[in-house]
Amino acid sequence: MQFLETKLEAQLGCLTKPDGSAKFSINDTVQICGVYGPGEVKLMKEIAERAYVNVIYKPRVGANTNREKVMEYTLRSILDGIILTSLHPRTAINIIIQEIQNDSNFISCGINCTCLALLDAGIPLKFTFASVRLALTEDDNSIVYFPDSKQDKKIKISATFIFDSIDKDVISSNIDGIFDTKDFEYLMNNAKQYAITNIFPLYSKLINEKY
Amino acid sequence: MQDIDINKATEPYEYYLKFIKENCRPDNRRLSDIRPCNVTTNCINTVNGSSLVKLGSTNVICGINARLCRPKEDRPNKGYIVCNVEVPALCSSKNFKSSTQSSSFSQSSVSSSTIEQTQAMLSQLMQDILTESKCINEEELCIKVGKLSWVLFIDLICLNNDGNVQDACCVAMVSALKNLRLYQIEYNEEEDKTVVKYPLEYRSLILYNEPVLTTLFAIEENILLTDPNKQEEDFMKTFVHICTLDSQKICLIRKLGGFCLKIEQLNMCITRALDNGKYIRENVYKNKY
Repeated sequence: MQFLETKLEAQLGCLTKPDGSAKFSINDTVQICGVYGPGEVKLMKEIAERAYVNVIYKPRVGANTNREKVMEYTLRSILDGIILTSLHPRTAINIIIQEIQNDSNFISCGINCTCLALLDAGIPLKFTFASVRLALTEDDNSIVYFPDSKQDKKIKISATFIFDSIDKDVISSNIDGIFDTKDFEYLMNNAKQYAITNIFPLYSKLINEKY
Repeated sequence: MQDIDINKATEPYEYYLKFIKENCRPDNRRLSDIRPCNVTTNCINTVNGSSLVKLGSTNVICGINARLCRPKEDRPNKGYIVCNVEVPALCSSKNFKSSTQSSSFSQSSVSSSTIEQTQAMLSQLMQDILTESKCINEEELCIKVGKLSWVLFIDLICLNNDGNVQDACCVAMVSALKNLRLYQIEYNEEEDKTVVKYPLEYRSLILYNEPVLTTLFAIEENILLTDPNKQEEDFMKTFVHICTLDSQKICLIRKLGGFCLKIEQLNMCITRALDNGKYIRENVYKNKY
């Protein structure tokens, strides 16, 4: 267990123009998220009974590749089920995530950052959500939370989970490597414990400081 | 009879739910059945390996081109594989060519997205299945360390989209890899040239395991079904992709969005995926290539 080594830092309201913004850093991975909404939507994208959620992910260097598109698709499909979109029909909620530093935890960082930015903007959500990434190392089968790119080379199973804050169920999971059901449950339970003890209290602390 | 037809057009979701409550589906499948799956290999003769898969009405064709290249600098003893999936405008009436227009006609918030994002997602999924399952050892693609190796371009094109393109893509990709024939190449050091051995000798790649992707989806809280068709993709509230390697090992689980699944439901998904994997391996992959 390497709790002490992972440093999680977050800050709400760091940008002035967007309706809500947040900065989140996990060790060396840092991302900023800005949320505009609910606002004007182009006629083509207008949906009669719900809001249209638009996610844009900007990499630090270079143009958009498959990696960014997959991240946008993942986030959009998760957020469409969490944001109460039927409260704001015929509008658009724009979420822009800018990657500042990437040390291979960009998915988790982006998701946690988005949750804080949505809370800062006051957009109605069903529940808050937290993402944990952990891995099983090859040598001694120990768990590493948020492995960075150096530790990435020595892992055999890598898993990213997203939990909701009410029942602590799995909203989304992304597991790579060769494993069986026992490994899956072990990783899931450990990730859940980590989210409960570290990430959700961080959210509560930040919101209490703001309001 | 008249009542049933009217409901199918005016209230498709409620009509569909009536079947689900009785534990079956409008196309006469059980909740855990997949559609009939057929594979034809060697259908394109301008490429090194090819296959055509029909999963119900969903058609996907796969062609593998093998080209020679210099290996990447940080991996001089390995070849590499590039996967690309295309979902062109011809495959479905809801897939418009314009990349700026998203398919907001579908009711499901989980499955609507632009063409570019869908293609990126599928390509990345196929690439991840190949890397995570380790079914191909990339060192076998290398001919001369640091100088010459094979690069495999795997192109998957969906010809007809009747739902669940990703499962069909996985079957097409693995069948085409089994069908792949590479001819023997030698590298002449002194003259710095590649020499093709005549008469052509072929070798095929060893597949260390046979990954099978299963997609399960949920429309109500505790009802999980396998293999959505196009209509069911519009209704689904959440879905899970599980790629299995053999009767116990899993190499990839992707669950995106929608509502949460409890651990028992996820375990049931995994059991169904393992069973489905076994079925596909016995009936589809066993064909002679």
